Amino acid sequence: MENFLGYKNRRWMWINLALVVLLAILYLFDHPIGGRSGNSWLGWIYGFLAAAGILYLMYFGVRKRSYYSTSGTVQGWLAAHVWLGVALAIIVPLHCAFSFGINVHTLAYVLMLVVILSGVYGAVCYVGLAPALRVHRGGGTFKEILNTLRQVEREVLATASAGGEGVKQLLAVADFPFEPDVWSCRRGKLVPEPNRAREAEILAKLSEQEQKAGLQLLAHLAKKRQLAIQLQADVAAVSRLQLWLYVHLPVSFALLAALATHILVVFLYR
Amino acid sequence: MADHFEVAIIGAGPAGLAAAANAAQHKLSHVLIERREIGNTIYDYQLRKFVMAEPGKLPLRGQIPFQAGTREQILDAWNKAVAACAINVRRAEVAAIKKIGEHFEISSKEVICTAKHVILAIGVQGSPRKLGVPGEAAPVVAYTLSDPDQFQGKDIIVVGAGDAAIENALGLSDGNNVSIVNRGDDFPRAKDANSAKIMDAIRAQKVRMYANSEVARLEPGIVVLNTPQGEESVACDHLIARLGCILPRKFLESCGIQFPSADAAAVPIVTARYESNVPGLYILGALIGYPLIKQAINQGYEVIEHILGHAVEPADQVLVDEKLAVLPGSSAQKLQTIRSALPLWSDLSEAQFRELIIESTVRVLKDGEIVFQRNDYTDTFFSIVEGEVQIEVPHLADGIKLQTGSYFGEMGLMSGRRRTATVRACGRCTLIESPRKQVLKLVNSVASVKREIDKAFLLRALETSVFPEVSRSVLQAVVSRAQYRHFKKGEALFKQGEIGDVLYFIRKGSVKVSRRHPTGQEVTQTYLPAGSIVGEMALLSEEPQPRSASVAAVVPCEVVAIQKSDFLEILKSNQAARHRLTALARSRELENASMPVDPQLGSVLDFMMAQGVTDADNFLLIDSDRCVGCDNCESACAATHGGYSRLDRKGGKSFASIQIPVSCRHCENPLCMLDCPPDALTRMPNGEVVIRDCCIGCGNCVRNCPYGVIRMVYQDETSSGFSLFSLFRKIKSDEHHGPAKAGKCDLCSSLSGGPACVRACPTGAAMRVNPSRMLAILAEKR
Repeated sequence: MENFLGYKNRRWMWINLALVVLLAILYLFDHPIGGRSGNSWLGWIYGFLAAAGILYLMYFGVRKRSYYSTSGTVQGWLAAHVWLGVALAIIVPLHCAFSFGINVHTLAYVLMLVVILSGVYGAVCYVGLAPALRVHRGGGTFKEILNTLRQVEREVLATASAGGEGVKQLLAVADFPFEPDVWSCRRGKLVPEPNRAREAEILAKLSEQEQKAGLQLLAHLAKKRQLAIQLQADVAAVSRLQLWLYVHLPVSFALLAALATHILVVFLYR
Repeated sequence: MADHFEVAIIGAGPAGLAAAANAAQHKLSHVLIERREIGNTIYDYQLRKFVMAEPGKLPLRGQIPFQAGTREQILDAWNKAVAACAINVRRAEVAAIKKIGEHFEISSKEVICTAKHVILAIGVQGSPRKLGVPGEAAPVVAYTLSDPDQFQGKDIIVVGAGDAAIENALGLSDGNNVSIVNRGDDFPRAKDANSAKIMDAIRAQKVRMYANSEVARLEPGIVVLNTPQGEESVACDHLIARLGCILPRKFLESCGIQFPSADAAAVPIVTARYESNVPGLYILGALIGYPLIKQAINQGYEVIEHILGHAVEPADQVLVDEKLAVLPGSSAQKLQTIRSALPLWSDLSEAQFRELIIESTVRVLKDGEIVFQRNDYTDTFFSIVEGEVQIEVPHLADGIKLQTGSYFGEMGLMSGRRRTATVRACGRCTLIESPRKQVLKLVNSVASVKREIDKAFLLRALETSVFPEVSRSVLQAVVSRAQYRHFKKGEALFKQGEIGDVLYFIRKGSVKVSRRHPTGQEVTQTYLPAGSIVGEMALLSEEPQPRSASVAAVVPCEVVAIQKSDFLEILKSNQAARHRLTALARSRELENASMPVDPQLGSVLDFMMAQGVTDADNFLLIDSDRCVGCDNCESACAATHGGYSRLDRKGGKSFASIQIPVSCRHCENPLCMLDCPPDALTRMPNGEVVIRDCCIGCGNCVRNCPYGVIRMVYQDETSSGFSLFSLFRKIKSDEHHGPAKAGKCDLCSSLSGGPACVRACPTGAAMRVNPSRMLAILAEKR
């Protein structure tokens, strides 16, 4: 089955591709007096298209929340949003005839590129990470798995406190705290590798009865480790699905401000 | 010398109050004798119990107000009415009513008064069935419970298995140690919702059940029970016995009133003026089989009019006239014509028949006009008053014709599923279209109606789906020998390899068909809904034939069994049927032999059955491979449905990468509709099950839905779509307006463009599908 980028036989990809190709051909055949620039007729048209495109892209945020709207589906709007965004990365350089500098105009373009790149990253995550979410969770929800893990932790403590000094020593070596936060989950460092050699060393010193309790403790901890790895991967995936938006959205508003300044400046100092 | 009155009314229930109020209005000298409280039955209800005002359409007559409300509201209104009407109330317990000459003498230990007319309106609630064991007179024994909050930290035993017992046990279970003593092991007499609640409480150990047990005797501080393990003593501070009520027959007979039979359910016969066989003695309400408050109030009003010699039409006359307005002739004639044309309803009492007509619609159809079409979602029941209709059946060019006096639509009535055939009028015909709920009520209360409809149900099923060629008389003979059987959930109707000797017709519920994989594992192959026939393949030959598959009940099933000998007799009588069915059997045998048993399909079907979506017509499915967890579906649902999402994206079970979130399946056989007092749950013509505004918030549907998709929600103002303001506003506000009502997915039937959740999904993960589409999606993914 197709993902959202391929909505209705990649309709929006083809439309935007055709648009970009058409604009590029026009650009190549256009030789205005004074050279190509944003100030030529074509430059003006491209500029108008790009500005309208940016407003349209920002309108997606409104459409997504217009739950009574009957204009298409959010899925179709998102496909159009992604492909038009990608197209703008090419249309804008055509608008300014590839003249960049250290000024507010280029700042708007750079901000736009940040928005587009974060968006492309988001789209890739949306397509690629959704199946991963399901796999990490194995059918359960994050909360359910975390509850199971906490239950296992209680069993670990119960086993350790029932055992003797040796078992407690084993606990100190083999247990690890699990408080998932986004950054350590993304680094994948939350669950330490077990120190099998040290565990075996301690186990060997225990009495027969303590050994039994120790093995039980290790079995519980193995279960905890498995759940923790699952949750770590889940948090990492969910954060990938969400964190890019913290770039995409604020920068898009900054872009809007830069764009307004660009237009104002262009009109005032033309 | 005792006082003398024109009318003495005994019992200050709704009927007695209405009669007294009307007598007072007409300045008739009267007395209303009551031993306890005004509206005693309602007084004894649990505090704040909600009382319904059924039947909804019946107008209310007289001076006593009544509308649906809490126990307190109703009692307050009645007490005010007693004062406002200046009703002469006297507190006394009547022990005897004797006719002396032209007058009645009413007495307890001594004579209370004498009267020319006596109106008996004591109901049945005043005569609870007693425990009947040694020690039952102990002060710890009670037969009612009004305020469960009075009890804290007590050992309480509730005896009984009806709704009252369950409601009491549950009401007491917070803060007390409650046991319920049940003669059986479940609660078949209780409403489904109550039965589910008490079973939950028993499982959660909030209430202890003594199953298959009875009270043996009471001793100080303890109750001795007869349990299957022998006698058991249980500590007891209070014992509440809710064993139902009995008609005070002995008392009525002592007044000279005669009963039509010795049957325990028999009620005294009265004239249309409510007068008994004792002239001047009138009987009203539950004593003569009218248990509803509204009916009783109307009777109370009418009986005084009769005594005064005023002509009164029955209260529901306006409604009857309105319904029958399309037909020519006088109202009485029309009613008589309809009644005599429809033998199915011949055992109904006058009141039951009038109620049926009031709830129904009279339809006059032109030649060829369609009554309903195959696969329609309507579920009404039709009786033919005049003319003829044709049921379209495959294999039969002319279909099946039904004439005056006949009826149809019983398939939808029993199983709650779509129409199985198209029906059209042949020539001009007049039909009575009755709502499913009304007809089911009659099926459950009038034995002859149930018998008749059961037979017709089976006959039509055989006629339309198995033996269209065979004459009706042959089938009728078979039907009369058929047996009704029940299967529990999971129980096998038959197993693969057994010798087949019975054909089953599934009347209610659904079954799954499974075959054995070469490894020995049972693999589900398909499922069959109510209305299907199973097991015919092994019956086609005279030789004993083994079953080619196993069939088991998916949900509790009601089936009709037809013996092989009867089946073969039908085949002998008709060569065409024999040839067709033999050919069908051959092709199925071939299919079974050549088609491999597919374990993967089996596990999908098992999952779908467990989730109830094989029964569903349009359910929400999430493709986990595409869902990014943005919850825009829930936001969309909440924004379009008063601030509360009717789906739980995170909930629900998954199969492979398909998740079925907690959301309404719009089942073909919706259990939520089973017990909805105001009939607020309705199936719309397009198939969606919706909750109408008349929901009273009783919560029965929430408990009856096996998939947990209905929630009690507060109705907030629906947000009017997107605004910048809404970005900064929390959707759920904590301010509630009005009571909580049941809320669930309505398929966005009032929105153009389809379900908001699906339209709002940015990645196309949320979809609305039917079972075959789900199978196709899974196949695509494989």
